Amino acid sequence: MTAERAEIRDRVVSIMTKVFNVDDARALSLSPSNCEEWDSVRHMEVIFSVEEEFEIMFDEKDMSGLDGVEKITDAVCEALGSSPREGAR
Amino acid sequence: MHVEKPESSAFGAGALRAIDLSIERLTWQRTLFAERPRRSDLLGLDGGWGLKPLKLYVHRNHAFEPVASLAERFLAYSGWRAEIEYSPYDDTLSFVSWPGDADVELIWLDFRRYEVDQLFDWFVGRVRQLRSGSRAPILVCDWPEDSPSGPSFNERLRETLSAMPDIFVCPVHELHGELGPRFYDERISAVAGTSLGNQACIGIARLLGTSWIPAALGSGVKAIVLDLDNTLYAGVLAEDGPIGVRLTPAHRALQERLVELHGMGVFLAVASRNELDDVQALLDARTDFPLQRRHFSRLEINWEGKAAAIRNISAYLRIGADTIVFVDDNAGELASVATAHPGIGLLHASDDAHLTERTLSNYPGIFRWRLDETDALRIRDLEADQLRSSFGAENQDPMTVLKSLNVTLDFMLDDHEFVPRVHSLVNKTNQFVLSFSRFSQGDVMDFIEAKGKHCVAFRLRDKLSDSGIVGAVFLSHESGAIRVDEVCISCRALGRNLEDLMILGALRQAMAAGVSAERARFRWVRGPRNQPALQWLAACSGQELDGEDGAVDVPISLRQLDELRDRFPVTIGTGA
Repeated sequence: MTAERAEIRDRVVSIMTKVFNVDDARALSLSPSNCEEWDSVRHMEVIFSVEEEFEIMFDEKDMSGLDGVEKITDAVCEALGSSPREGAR
Repeated sequence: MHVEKPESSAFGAGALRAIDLSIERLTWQRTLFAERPRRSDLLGLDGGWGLKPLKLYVHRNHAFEPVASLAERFLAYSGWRAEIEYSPYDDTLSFVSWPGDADVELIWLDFRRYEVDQLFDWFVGRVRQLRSGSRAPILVCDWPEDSPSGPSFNERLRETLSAMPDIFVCPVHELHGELGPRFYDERISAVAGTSLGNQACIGIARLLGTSWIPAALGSGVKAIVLDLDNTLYAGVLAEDGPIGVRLTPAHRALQERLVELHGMGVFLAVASRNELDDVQALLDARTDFPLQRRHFSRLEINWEGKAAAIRNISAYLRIGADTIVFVDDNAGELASVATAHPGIGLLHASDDAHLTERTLSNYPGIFRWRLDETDALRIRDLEADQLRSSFGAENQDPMTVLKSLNVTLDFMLDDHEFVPRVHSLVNKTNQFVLSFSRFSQGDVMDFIEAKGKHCVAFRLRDKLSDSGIVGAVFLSHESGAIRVDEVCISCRALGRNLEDLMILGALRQAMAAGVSAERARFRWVRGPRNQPALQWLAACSGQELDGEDGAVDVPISLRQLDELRDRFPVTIGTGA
């Protein structure tokens, strides 16, 4: 993983800890399938918070797929034109 | 923000916890009142101080949840733990499954879902229906729309609903004007259940949490006590001198805001550790400051602690510390004041004075839905009171003093015009209040309109000033007796030996209008600060008031009350 991607992922994790009120370790593994609190409102909170943090805007069609730290990090990297995860291509 | 905490031996664990919580609340300022608050920063706030529960019921046809999660933080800053309940998504506002026990009702509609032509009359009818069934304040968010329909709809809505008691039209359209295209975000509507963008949600949350809801519930700041150095200007007076301290653009904006608040009837005072001569020289020299000497009702300039200064200011202004906001750049001073004056508002003056100004402008209790006549009178009335006190010192006989002041007392029976002012008095008075009923505007209207009930408001003026409406008596009558449900008198009207005339005169007004009674039963509740009211009642009834609450009977007759009225050299009127 590049240093740039790692830094982005850390910031995404920080957002997830605040939105879901969990610690870093739990935030890393969160998804709608393993977290009852991850409903449409929380999903909106995650999207808005990430857009704010990185000053980006996601396409509407991509929003539903942002369902975990790694996918969100990938999407942020793509939006910023940063290096994706190694092996993701 | 680092704070040197006092030695633990000087305070108990409870007091240290209170200091911790006060300081914690201050650390929220930078996040809550940032120029563009961030959602994730707001979500990371978790308040631990004592919060009062607040039931908010949202009548809605689109999602409020994206606002709610943020509004909870702003409401916590204002002192409430929000318990939010929702109606189903309902375009018809049918009020089905509405529990009816909310502390605040909020109408939250996306008006774009309706046909404009048929909207207005129908909507006002639904609001009337809600008003008739709920005693809580009702907030109605208006239409954030810049097509021709929106502004005219909003204007008609404000004109129509402002005539109804305890209904407040929230100007969401103003935020729409500020944010422009960023207000709506259609990308998110399928996920969030609303088309409001992120900044719109944050802006509305802040307005609801620190301005609109607190104002609807009667929160009101009466005085702002200010430090000087690095608060009202940049620099230290003792080091830089009166000319050397800097009025930066941000400090100018802060001072201008304070001048504006002064014009709205908020007292300004200074509590500063400085030499009095230096401060006088500053006020003389700095004619470029928006704030001038005449804006300050009191200067406490000495080397004593600020807690003592605030005690003096509170006594001089005759207001409780819980209606004061103290602004200082020194967190240690804020902590010491927090310990000495539980309930006082605290604002940390930032090195960024724009942040200080934004925090002050959004501080709970600063925004008011309506200014009544008494807000503007308050400051002039205090100045007049100083003259009255000197009058009294020269003339020891109270009746001679009253005669020389040409006092007029007007009684208004069941008058709708004074509902907002009476509602404000009955909710904010802490010293001269008998039973802490804290009536809503709906309750006040009920006393005015219902058979067998009355509300008598009274207005006080003399040759020095017009104090406006200073008190009210709420009564019910049945079977030859009057039950006095509440009495409240503003502390500004106390100390003139007029309490008997005001209260018994109000009863006389009701009896002259046809209420027949041989006795008046006064309900009373003992509170932390209403000794003046209880002492009056004990003296009037000739009975001791034991315990925490009760009722006492006072024999009355119209002839007896006429004789009382005639003993006072006061003109009695009806306010016509």
